[in-house]
Amino acid sequence: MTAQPKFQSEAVSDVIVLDSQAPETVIWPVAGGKGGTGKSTLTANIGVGLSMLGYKVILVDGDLGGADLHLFFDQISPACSLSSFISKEVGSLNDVLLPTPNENLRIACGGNELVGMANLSYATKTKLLRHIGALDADYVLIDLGAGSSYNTLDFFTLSDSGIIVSTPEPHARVDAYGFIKNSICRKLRRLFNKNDEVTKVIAAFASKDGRKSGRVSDLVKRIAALDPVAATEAYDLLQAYRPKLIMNRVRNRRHIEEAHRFVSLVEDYLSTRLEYVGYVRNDDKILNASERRKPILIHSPKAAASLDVYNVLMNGLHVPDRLHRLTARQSRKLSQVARAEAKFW
Amino acid sequence: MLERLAVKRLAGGVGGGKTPKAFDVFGELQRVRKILILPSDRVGGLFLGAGVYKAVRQHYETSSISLFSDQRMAAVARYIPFVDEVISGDLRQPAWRNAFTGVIDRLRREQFDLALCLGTDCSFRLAQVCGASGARLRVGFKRDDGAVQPFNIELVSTSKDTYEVDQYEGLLRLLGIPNGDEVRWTISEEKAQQIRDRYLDGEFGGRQVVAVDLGKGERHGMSSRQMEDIVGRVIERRGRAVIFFSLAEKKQVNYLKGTYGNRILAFDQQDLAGVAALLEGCRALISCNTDLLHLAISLHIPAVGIIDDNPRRWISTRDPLTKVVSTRDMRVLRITDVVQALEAALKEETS
Repeated sequence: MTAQPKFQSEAVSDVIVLDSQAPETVIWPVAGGKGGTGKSTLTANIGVGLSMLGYKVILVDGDLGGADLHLFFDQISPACSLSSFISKEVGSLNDVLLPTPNENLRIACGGNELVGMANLSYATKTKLLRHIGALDADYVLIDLGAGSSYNTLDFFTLSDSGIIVSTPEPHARVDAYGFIKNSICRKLRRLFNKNDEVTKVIAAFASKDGRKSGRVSDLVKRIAALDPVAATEAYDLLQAYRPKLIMNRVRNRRHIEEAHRFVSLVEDYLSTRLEYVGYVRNDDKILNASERRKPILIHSPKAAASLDVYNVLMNGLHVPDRLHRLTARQSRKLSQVARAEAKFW
Repeated sequence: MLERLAVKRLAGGVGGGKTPKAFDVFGELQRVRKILILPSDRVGGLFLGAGVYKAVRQHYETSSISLFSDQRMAAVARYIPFVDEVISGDLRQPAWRNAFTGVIDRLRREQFDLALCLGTDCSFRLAQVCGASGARLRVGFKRDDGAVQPFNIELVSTSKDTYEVDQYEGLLRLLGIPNGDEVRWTISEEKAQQIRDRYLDGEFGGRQVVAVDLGKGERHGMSSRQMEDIVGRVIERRGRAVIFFSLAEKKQVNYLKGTYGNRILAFDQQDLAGVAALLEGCRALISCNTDLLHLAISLHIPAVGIIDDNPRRWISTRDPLTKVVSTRDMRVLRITDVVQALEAALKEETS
């Protein structure tokens, strides 16, 4: 293609402006529907792994009312927490960030001390979401509580690429399915909050349990019958929504196959491409690490679960090593970095 | 400086017939409509050539100007407002590779009237690109190797000691293109501030931050031990260091990271705009690779250049903020000289 000359009659500038790319912040809310699937454990360990790879990471304990993420960092009663921000003791979320032994990793502890912490008002929740979105780091991980409360859904839908943690047990998968369905309905309702007819159709879809409500593709068809433009918007929203799945506490190969089947089911019924990013094996050393109030990556860098976390990070979530030490294939060697890191903890 | 302009030959002749007419170089230069500029690929060439791009734009206001850039610098080249497009190619690719021949084909299709190859000792490959571009007038500095004759107008330089930018000015003068004013590089302040906020907080907040460039360029760089000593001196004075590195120096940067931990920040050079943003947050730069050195000079940041070549070619003697530590052999480089040069550069800035 031939370049077209740009005729410049005005004076030529003396300055060349290098427009640097503003560093993008990746937000990964971690949820799963059912309690006890290992959301907090994985959030803490993924955060530690990212910081070892050279990224600035902030962990936010979004399990309001049941916060425990700080325990992985040996902080029994943190000096400040999200409740300090919510009760307006501090003006910025940056003021509640606590350091960890790795200077790349900071943590915003959740607060349990305020009554009603789990039931935030709309204004408080919006403010908190806005401040989380404005945090300055390469990665912000939000550990969310169990269930599908509006608070949890709103935190999860802060990003299109949140992480779902499930275990191979059927009830965990059912809860994860329900959580994804509810998050889609929440996103759609927010998108069409001024369109009453479409909102009613979405509400009717959301009110039925599990697969009884039918496929999301049918819901989009019903929306299309009412408003074709809205249906296109809904379709675009579903295309952009790409949550990730980590199967935790895997004990055998069949469990991994179950994960793949679950991904197909979600794609089929919920028209959402759930990205399977890997599994973490069931490992007693995780319990030992929890007892010592340390992430397993620091407590046992070479444990099976640790190796799986490295694999999830570098091959599943495709996070490259910022210092070019390791390629994705060498993810296991991250244990050497973790061993060196453990000396500071 | 530039002693003479040698018109060598013109491919295909001019005027046709058995006896070609005398070639009117300056008449041809008046009729130029499509221009290709090839900045030197040797040493911060893209930055050094900025004045040329602007002068050519001002002289040929309605002509189309294309800039050829090595792939690694293409992202930065696209910010240059004086050119209409940037054509990039990987100069490290072998000449027979499709990636390389494809770029040559592209240049030939453009049918440039004038190709200006900057750099008094640019790489053989860049000269080859200029020659193969098929431009009617191919202007460049006479090459010492004589193996290839890519230019049909060669500029013969009598002194190897002249600052590269001064040589470019001489080239423009000989071609009848008036020199423009000095061109300054800067960065978009808002985004630069975001980068600085992210990386220069915590341990780095409120401290004197000195940037150290691990890049070796094509020559021998400093050893890990020498780097360790320099960074150590910075940290000793309660300062912090930002280490700019590329893939080739990953072992060195990991060694430094292992030694100094959180007191240094390692930053990949690939994101040059990010590097520029961080450089602006640093008090000074120490570098033995003139790529970043010239970026620092363009940004008016005190800099120490450690150069094992003739420094007068790469560093302007008119710039008080840039100090040169000249050494024939990097192995005998004295760290105290580097530290003294750093202090002198910082003193110039404060005065």
